[in-house]
Amino acid sequence: MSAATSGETLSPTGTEPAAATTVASGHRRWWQRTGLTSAISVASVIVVLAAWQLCASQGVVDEKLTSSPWGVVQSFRFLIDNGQLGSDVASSARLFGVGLGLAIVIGGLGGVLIGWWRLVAAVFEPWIAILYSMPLIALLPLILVWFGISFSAEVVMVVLISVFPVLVSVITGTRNVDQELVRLARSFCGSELAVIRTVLFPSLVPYFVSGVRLAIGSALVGVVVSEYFLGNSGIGGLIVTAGENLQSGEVFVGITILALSAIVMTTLLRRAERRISQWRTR
Amino acid sequence: MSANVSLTSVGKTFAPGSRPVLDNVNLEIQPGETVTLIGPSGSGKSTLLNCIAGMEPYSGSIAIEGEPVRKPRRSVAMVFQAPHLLPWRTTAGNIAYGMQLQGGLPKEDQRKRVEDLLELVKLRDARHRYPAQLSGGMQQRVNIARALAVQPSVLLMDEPFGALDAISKEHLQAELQGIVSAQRLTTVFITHDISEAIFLGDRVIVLSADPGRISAELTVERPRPRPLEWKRSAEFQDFYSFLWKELQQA
Repeated sequence: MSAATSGETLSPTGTEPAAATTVASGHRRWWQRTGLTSAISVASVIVVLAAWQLCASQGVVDEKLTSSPWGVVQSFRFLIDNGQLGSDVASSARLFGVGLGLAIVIGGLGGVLIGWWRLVAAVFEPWIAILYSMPLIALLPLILVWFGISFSAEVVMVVLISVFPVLVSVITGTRNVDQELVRLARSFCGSELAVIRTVLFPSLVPYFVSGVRLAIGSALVGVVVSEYFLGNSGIGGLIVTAGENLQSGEVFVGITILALSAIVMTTLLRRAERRISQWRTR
Repeated sequence: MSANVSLTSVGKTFAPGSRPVLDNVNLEIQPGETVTLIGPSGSGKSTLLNCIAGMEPYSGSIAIEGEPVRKPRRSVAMVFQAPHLLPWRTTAGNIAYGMQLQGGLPKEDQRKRVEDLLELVKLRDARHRYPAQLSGGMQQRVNIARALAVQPSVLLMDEPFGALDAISKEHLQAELQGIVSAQRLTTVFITHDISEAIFLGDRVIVLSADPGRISAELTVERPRPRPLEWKRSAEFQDFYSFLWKELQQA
């Protein structure tokens, strides 16, 4: 694990504008330069895993309840061999992809409309304020009534939970656009659409990315929650069923997959943003 | 290429009932003429320029080539005080920006024009750099090149050199004078630097504050190109003290 990736995994939910993360690399202390911090991070993980394994195999804790790293690996193998893991991951990934995709499209377009036109904002802002501040999981029984136990009910839940981070972030970004650049574009007879395309969209990139980064986390929550309650399928279903059957190893398999996919997606997103925003750092 | 600009009893009040910012401004600008506007802060210089650019409503009438001005038009280009470059576009990309917004020009011609302008404002070597990597003077040259790229007949400039150091300022004044007279651009140039107003202007208009009115006018009869040394001459000093006295009363 390199210094850069360990730094990223420590703050997976960072909301700070992306510019801040790229500038700070100039002055590093000796223990950062020598990679000591990343060595400590790796050691920290290894120590905990080793302690867990040791406690389980020495009977300090009941391995039936806590499982152990080796137990988790065996559960992994077992679930891969009987084909369950593959289909569960595929099913969760489909729900996650459709839900997050819709949330990004709705949040992105809605955020631009609401941020750009005051009248649109007047219509939607009270609803955003109400929905964004409440625990949306409370709506689950209603969704169940309206959509039944179905894929669409699950998608609705995921979208509902993950749309607001994107929406709110894009609204903020749209309102923060440099008004002088907007004036400049208008002075060149730029049409409203041209102003939005050439001034607004490029300046939205960091806001959009940090919205999506938060939405990835929320969408995973949405996926697991709706699989728990609405379908008993996918990784969420796997975790619930395994828990009920006291298969803690399989529970940890599900948890590990969720954690890893969150880290991988956030990291990829950060890389992508760095590539688009090269003008910031050069 | 050049156009006349005519202002007849132009007035501007921001809030109803408040004192006017501009009051009864009358001005005829000839095709190819450079008029510099000078005045204390609060004399409504920038407001007047925005009105001419069609970016601000006003009372009275403003006409460019006989057509009344109500919204921004393609033949008029504005150069703001701050460069306002798009930070995610390179020098070349920024120069092309206004042109692309106006549209209607084939890609090949756009490229050619950007090429010529890079040459004109001496930014060839900086073509791939982003605004954050340019000095203030270079950024302002990009700003001017972006305005020239749309091949305007009227150029409106709002204190474009205000934030620059004395040396870059003089360089740019000399360059701008060359460009403007070569292309016979009708130019309205705002400044609060008296010698800049004289050096660049065919005519210097003094605006008084509160409300903004034309309080004096000076015709600078001196053929172009005007060398920078001319600024150190007795003739120039006479112009300077005349305007300085007028500004004291404005």
